[in-house]
Amino acid sequence: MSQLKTGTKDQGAGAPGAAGAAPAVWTTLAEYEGRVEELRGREFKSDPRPAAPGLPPILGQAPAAAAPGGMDRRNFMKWSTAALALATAACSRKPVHYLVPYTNQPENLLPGVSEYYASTCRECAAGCGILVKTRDGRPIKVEGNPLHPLNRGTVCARGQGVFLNLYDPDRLPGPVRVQRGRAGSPIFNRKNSIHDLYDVQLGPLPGVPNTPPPGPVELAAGARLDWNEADQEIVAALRRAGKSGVLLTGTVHGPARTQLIADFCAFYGLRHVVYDAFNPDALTAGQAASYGKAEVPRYFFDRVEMLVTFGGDPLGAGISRQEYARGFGQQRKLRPAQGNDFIAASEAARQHGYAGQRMSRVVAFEPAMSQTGLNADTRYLLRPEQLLEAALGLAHQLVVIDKRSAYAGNGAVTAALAGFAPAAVETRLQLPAGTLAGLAAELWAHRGESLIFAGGPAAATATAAELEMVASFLNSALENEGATVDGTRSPSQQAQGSHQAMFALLDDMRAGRVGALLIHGTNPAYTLPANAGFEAALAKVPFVATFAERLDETGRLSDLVLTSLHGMESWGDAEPQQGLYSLIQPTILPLFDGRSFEDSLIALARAGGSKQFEMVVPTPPPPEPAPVVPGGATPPSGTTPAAGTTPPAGTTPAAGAAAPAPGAKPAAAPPPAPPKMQPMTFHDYLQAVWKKEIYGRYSLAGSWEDFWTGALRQGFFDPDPNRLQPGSARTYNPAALAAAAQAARRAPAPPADGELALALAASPMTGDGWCNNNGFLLETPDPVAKVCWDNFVSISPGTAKKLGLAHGDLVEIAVGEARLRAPIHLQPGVHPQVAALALGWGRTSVGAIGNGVGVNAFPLAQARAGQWIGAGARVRLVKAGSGYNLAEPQGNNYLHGRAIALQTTFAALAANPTAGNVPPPPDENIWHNGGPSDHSYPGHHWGMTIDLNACIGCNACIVACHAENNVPVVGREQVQVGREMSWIRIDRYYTGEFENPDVINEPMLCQQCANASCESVCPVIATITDAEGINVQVYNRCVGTRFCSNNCPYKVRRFNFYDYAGIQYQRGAPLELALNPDVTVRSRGVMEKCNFCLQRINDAHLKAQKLGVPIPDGGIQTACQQTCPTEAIYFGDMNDPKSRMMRARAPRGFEVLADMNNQPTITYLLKVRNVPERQA
Amino acid sequence: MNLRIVREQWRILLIVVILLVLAGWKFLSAFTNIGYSPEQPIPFSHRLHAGINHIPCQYCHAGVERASQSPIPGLNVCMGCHSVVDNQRPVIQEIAKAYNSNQPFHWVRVYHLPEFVKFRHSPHIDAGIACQTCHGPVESMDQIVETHQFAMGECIDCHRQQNFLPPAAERIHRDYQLSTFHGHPVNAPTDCNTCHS
Repeated sequence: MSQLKTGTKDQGAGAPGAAGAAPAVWTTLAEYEGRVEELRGREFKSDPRPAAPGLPPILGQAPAAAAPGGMDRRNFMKWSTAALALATAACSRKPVHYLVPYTNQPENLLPGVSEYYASTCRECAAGCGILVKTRDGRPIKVEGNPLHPLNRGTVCARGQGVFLNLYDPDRLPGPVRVQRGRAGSPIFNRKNSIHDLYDVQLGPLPGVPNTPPPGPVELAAGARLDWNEADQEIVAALRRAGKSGVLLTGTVHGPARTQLIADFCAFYGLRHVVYDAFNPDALTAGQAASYGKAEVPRYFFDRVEMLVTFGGDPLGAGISRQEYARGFGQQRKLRPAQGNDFIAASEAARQHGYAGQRMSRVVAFEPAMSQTGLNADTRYLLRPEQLLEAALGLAHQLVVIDKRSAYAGNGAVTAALAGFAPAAVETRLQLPAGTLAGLAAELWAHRGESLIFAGGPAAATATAAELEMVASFLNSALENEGATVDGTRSPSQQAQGSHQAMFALLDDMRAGRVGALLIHGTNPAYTLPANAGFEAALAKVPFVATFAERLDETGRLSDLVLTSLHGMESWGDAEPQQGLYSLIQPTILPLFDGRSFEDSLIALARAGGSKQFEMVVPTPPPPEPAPVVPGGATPPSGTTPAAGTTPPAGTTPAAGAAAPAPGAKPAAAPPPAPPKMQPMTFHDYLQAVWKKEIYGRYSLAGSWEDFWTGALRQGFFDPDPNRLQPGSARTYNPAALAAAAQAARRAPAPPADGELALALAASPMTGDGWCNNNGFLLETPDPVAKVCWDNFVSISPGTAKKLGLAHGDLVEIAVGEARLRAPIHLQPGVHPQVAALALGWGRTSVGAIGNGVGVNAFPLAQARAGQWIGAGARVRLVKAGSGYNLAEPQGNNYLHGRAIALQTTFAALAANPTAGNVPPPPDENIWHNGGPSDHSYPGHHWGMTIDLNACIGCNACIVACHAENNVPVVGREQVQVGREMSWIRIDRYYTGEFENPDVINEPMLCQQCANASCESVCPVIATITDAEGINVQVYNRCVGTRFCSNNCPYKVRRFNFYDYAGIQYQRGAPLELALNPDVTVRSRGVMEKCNFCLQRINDAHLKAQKLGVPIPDGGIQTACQQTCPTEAIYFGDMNDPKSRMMRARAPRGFEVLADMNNQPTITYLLKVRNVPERQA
Repeated sequence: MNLRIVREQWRILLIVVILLVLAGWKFLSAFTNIGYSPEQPIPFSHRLHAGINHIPCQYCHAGVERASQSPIPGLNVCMGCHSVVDNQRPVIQEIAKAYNSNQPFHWVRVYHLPEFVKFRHSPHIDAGIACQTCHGPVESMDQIVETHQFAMGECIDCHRQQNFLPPAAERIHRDYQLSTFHGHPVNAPTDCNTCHS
């Protein structure tokens, strides 16, 4: 019946194209243009592989050569009889399992009981605090550390996906001799990559010189190295190099880690160079010119009432994006006039409406839609090189015309801004007249609580530093300096790399001034521009050694690759912001024959004769009844590999407390015998540095042991409460503004006809691409384009029409000598003269999953005069093919023109609390004629409230759900046919102007309906509403008819067409260790979907039962809710009106497809846009 | 039916029939493991420890009230007593040797549950269910024998019986999720997701 209803809607007002009018809300171009037939086709896709030759038999499709059906009946009978015979003969009982207990049971460690350890995420250099959930000695889930001042309990998508990196079978098994790629390596390209399995050939596009995945090559005999041998070789090379050796690393912070690098460099006389692919060169240069000191300031997004970005993408690619997103989300919610309590504001709105409440305003000037632009109230499209002029125009309006700020009347400033009169700037940049005047007035009204944020690859033109100078000027003029920008008290240390330093190093290398190069934590061979000439420069270096977890592009060009450890296997520390000390502790023994980079440095220094890394043998602790014998235990299931499942005493996180204090004074024995010395591990070194630098410096009460245990338990040490406030304002140097204006007057000519300005962008999912062997991240769609398993050239639909290009065409782009070929994606919200392309894809040596996925756009950037130019280059898109099938999960479901995502404006909401929240017209339906359902929920009734205003589309929830619920990755082709498995997705809805639309992000997951459409059609009652209102899916009962999925109006049910989990996790050991043992791994032929993290609800029940108390509000956090940086998701008991979840359901709340009377338990709060009257 | 096939291929048909019967028998027997009693790495006797010497189950299986799986004791637990008690017997010396060389025993698992069943011991212990209810008279077994089959019906039966509460007590007990009512186990849920998550 519901299907019938759908049909009628199609032909009515719901089908926009048919009526000729543009829809108010649309998701895809096809929908906007009303290509209904195409959309219907996408909704019910069939397997597009009629006869794929070479398809592995695991997928059950015979090659085309075989007879239809693959096997005739006679053969079938033969084989099945043989199989039966074998089965009866071989199997006397089900497989015998063994239970292997510890020989020495550690206290407080029980099989099947999770332990949590505080640590610091090392997936990027931001240094967010995490809690690692371990089970039977293996980490299985990461959650944010709620106490950590940086991220306050949230982790981004990359952090959530960490386990596919930790347990990656493609990691290097041990140190190898690579000999500059001559001997090659067999480690990658085994023939079981996910692409091979699904027969997706992503390899090099014909005729394109770049992105050739290296072929499978045999490891030369003797390529595996012995650690001693490797150490000796490196020491010899460093000795030969003398003072010309260089240590090249990515960003490193943390007192012990920096101190160690300094000690090591001092011992060998090395120079330390820091290089990251994404680095704040422009920002630090701008800061240095503006304030005299090169700093990466700290931004207080939680104090920003008005954010204006000039090309910057703090949410998608910010240096500390979790911190930014947390503050951003807090400010985007509707808050009371005083304080930030969103729940209180919601409750108040029930009675008094929204008048008098606050929310922040976001304005973005950008060349292409970034993740921040996705969340902006107002967006202006500019080419990358125009951003500077727009910023200067804004400054002119503010200071010269409006005569605001302390700089009004300042001669130097006025002179500098001459020629940037807003009217002229607006004409030149084709901005609506009055834009800058309006913006300046708003900003001035929010002075001291606004922020001008510039930078990022999309703004990295030749004048990127100048843009930062103007942004700094605006922040100073608007009194944000010292209020939302902190450059004095606790500036950020999360990004220290520099292209300038790297380019200088390359010059030295070319000139033969580098005798030996040690590389760790950065991948210059992959991330440097083509014209930087890294490979040629490296050839001039006599000796190169790389310390890496995997054999990356740089490793392939090295002499030796020494396996370093994953962040979860090693000790370490971090100091993301000055004065915030964070600890990294291992939660598992090394899975491969590796040694942490820090331990390698100590070993190398010792091998070279350093006596520094020795310590006094600690006095033996008082004899214990039984010495602790580590290891020897496997989880009792008998199915998990035994490798390193228990950290030994020395590395056991909790052992930090029990371990004897290193560096403790030797016992005061009368004879002054020379103390016995023993080599230090990095663990000892770390403790020694912390004891001296932190415990000593802050002269804390209590013993060192207590301090250390406490810091380990908490995960960080943040001694200065004032650090949470911004420091004092710095004084702006007007000469910087003059320099910036001078540079802006030399703006390049606009692109010629047919030319576009290239804007390279950081990909929110892959970052700089270092963890691209991670299926979770590759399959999670890009927040803006909603395309996965590829990067692509985004151009606006209008430009495409002009250039004669279509969605899925292949184009060739050339900048200088670098050329690549990539598919076209039509993206509304891109400047008509801009082509945007994401960086961080197209790895060639990362592992079987990530090799050759997408194209590497880093070579398209240019090294020019020590600067990295990622934006503004003029390119022509040369059509080189068509019909490339991008994997786009978003378009797989057709809206039928229904009102699914609602929105309103802030002004309208203040006048009317239910503005925009129009209930859909009542509709006939099969459910109780619109009445209540006949379920009763005497105990709990779980539900959710999701604030569309706070959802920034960052995808952290999606990856968290993958990790928590063992949701498999299926590969590009399966996504193309609509078989993606993610239980939660973020739907992106466009509204408004076609070429520059507004966006609503709507997380969509199972709505746990009371009147569930799925339940009524299941023939085996495999899906059923339980006593607490959850629509449970009973996997062992499911027979795979897929009726439920067909009948689900929200399209949130996922079907295992193949044994996806098996294919993904049995790719190689130890990948299976990443699975959550509390959640059944679904096999082929089973339907699955979100169940509100049932295992967490069960856990909470047991815990409450044990304590004899009710489950407290907030006692259960679903995985998506837990990691959401903006707290957009509230989960709680609908029977408890006092729960935060229920209190949040303000007048803004609506249920999706309420007219069907499915009675979903999820209420959405409609999207509110903070646009001033002049734009509303 | 074409009898010619039966005449000509009767041997093959006979083999097929026999195999099918054999297979069916094996298939069924695979689910009835009652009586399964594999030999363990050492002849540990529950009769001696739990029966004759009255050592409580949870002395060795400590932590079962908190864990989903009942922990198999580590060798340090054995050595807690046997470093003194009976330490000259060969089998005890075998334990001591294993303990000192850090070589854990590989006990053969007796009770299996499929992977999609997430059984937890702790709530059952909390509700005061005796170990013997499910594991049989362990205290009289020298070598552990499987006495229960753990098909779903058995679980559900028990959960239904244990779910009764007088209406007056229902609210408070449901709210507070208490596991016993005057000593009787209550609140045994029968939702699918209790065991299948």
